[in-house]
Amino acid sequence: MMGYPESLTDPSYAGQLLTMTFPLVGNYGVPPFTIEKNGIPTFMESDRIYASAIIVSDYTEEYSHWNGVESLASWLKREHVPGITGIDTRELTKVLREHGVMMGKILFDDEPDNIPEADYEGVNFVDLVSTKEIIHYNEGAGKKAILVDCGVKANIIRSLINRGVEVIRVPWNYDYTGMQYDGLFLANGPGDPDVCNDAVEVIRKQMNMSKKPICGICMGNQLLSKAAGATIYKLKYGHRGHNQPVRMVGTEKCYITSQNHGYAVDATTLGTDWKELFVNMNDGSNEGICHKENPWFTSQFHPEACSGPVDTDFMFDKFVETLK
Amino acid sequence: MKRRNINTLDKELLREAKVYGFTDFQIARAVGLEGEEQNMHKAMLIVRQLRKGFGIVPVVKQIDTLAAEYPAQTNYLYVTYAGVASDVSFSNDRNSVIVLGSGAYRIGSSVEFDWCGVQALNTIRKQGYRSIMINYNPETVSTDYDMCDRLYFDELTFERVMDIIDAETPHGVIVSTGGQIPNNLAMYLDEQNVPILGTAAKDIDNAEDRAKFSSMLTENGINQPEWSALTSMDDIDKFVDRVGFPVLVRPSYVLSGAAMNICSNKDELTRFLQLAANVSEDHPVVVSKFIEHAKEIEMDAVAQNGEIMAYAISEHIEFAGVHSGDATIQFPPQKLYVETVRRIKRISRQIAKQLHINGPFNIQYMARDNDILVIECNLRASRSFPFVSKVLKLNFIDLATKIMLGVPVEKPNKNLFDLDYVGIKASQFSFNRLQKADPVLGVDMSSTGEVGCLGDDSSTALLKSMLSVGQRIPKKTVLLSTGGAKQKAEMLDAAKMLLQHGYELYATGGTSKYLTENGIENTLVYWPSDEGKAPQALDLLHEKKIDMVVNIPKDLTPRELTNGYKIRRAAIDLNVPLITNSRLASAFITAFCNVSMDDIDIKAWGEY
Repeated sequence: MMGYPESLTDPSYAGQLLTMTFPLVGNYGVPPFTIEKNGIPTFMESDRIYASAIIVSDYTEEYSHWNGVESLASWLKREHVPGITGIDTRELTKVLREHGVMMGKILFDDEPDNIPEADYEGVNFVDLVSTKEIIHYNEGAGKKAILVDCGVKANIIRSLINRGVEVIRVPWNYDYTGMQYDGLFLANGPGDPDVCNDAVEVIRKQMNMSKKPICGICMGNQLLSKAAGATIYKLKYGHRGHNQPVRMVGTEKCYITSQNHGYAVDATTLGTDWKELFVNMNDGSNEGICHKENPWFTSQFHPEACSGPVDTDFMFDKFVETLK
Repeated sequence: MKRRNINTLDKELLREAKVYGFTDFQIARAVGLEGEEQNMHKAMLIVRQLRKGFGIVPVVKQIDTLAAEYPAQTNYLYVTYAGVASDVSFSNDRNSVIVLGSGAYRIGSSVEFDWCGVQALNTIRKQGYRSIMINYNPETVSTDYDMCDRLYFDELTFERVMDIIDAETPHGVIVSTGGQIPNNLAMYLDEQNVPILGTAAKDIDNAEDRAKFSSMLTENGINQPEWSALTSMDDIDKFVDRVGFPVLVRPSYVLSGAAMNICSNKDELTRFLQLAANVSEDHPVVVSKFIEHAKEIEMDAVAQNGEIMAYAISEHIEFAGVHSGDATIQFPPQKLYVETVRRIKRISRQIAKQLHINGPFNIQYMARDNDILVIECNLRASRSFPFVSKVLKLNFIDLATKIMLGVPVEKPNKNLFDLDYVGIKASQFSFNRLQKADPVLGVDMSSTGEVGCLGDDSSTALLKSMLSVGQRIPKKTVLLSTGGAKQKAEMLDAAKMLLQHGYELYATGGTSKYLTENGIENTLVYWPSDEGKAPQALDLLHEKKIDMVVNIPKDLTPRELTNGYKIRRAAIDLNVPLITNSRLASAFITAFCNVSMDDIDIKAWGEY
């Protein structure tokens, strides 16, 4: 199974123990952690591993891949992130599914429980993983997009700059409304959107000021929905993985998407100016919204993939098209 | 692991080996038990005991395409050691019944056994038990998870089946509807005190073990072709000197048709034994007298406590020597003496009683005049069960399953001689896909499918079924090579009939001479070995001047084999209909000469 380098470095997994449901992990090693001139990692999704640990069923020690430079285990050791193999991840997934996300520890049978309790509730993970300063990418390239970094994945930045957009990455709670820009991009991020009310306030302010295009992904969808008046609820079964089917509302078009979220937008609470853009085919939950008139639209899934299917990268094309 | 022995094999290593999928059998071999125990089954049981003592037992998981993200509804289970908990729970109320399926489809074990398994599941459910299927073939109906309450998509090995039985603690296990694979497990399961429903394992063994079965027949005055299990060439020669050629040669304890052959002279016997079997003390070869020009008759039946409750007698159109899976089968029989039928019923009753049969069984008989010989007996459903059940409109498996479950049943009031229609099952072959294979039929099964058809008489039913398996009615020309003297005589009437119906006959050397002598006009064609002479049979085939080939192998001399083979193979490769059996050829020719396509009625099964 593929995707563990991207998932481990996805800031959305900050503070979480990552369980892989696919049994064989590690078979293709880890790609080199090189950083491009523009400061974006070549293959990873951020500057380091954000997940607190990785739990797998059957770790493959011998890896083989043209782009593999070290084993998963050696990388984890280097970054001081625990990994455990030999776990019945199917059973663990069932427990998590029934009880919801819960606090966890990795303990060994023959060792005392001297791991301190961690906090998850009440921790603002977005604040922990978001950039602390403004970063410019692709300066002078053309249209300017503000990227609100709630824990952005590198491929969102890549997707924008590859389409000739100048990206201004700002901290999650930064008030950018006074800046010069053509559109607003709300990135993904970890945790509960309700701790990000500061960001929502800025978005509302922006929407009252102008009709500049807004696009959001994952956390970005939830923040824009909150700004549009909708409420957020915790899903009984969170959506995780590479095979989540969504349908574009009003069409017969279905897409297989990459997802990672435990909260969803309650579409019935959206303001009258808004409508649903995507729904999940498994449970009917909201997967994206759009404004009826303004170029404001979002997806709950990850069109930037990394890892996962790239069927929905038209979201970036649409966003770039609407920049004036 | 090879550095350990059974006493030094520790729990962690054993668990690791199981997680990686090694069987108890492989582990027994790795720790050197193969040398210590006289048989591998015992060695495997030692590992099994150690493993269970360590508490290393597998868990049951659902095949789950959503990786447990959503609760899986699919009743599609497998067994694994890489887990800490099962996805399903076990109620231990002994109210479930396990049916063992037939495994992978292959020549000899196919959808017929799947039908039997599914019928058993249906009856089990109707009788208020939970039905459990173990089978590993995705292309079957029995592995449709709606067909049963639990579907284990897993191996039909002793180890795996026992593990599932240990987990499920069923009311009983049915081994008699899945063909030979589950049947072979009966004795091993019985040793572990598994409740086998139906005929007792001991009795199954009494039928499977040739020596035990044979002495039972002798004690009851029932005849069988003379046979002997022999361990040296000298003994074989002595036996053949006594009974004479031809003989049927096969390895012992294999009744499925594998590595069997008919040898009609000393040369063939030597050649075959060198090719197929190493005769030794440990691997005796069973040699039996082969009776030529005998009818082969199938008895499919269901018994309760040794008393036959329902039966179906069907006859092969071909003479004995063609595997029952390849033969064209007619039910009810149309050309059996009343006395033959009476004797077969009597012998079957005796055997059912002696073997205390409780469930489905099948006996194959050979009959010449009224001389009845038993070829073999299987205490399980045979591949003709679905066919006879549908023709007779009496579900033999439903009845058998009720009997195996101990549900009171009444003797069904159905008599095969009351039917006013005939069912014929024709076999489908795939020789066109098997490049260079010689398309002749023998004691080894080679058909890959079959079609059963009903008709108001034999000819209609035969025509329907032959056309259904891909034969075509020739338009104008037929090429005949009709084998030995006996077959030539058998084919004479059919040849006359062809001529009367305006067909042009072509015939190879001997056949042409024979036909001419009997006043049947024909054109002589030459064998491939008659180089330089025209017309050549192969040329005519290539020029599409032949619409049907009847080619009956005379003997197994190299010249005959090569010539005949070239013509048969050319017919298959050029998609010209080919028949290689004189009895079937006669029947088919009679059918298409007497019944026209317009006379064939199209009727649903229920309309008969």
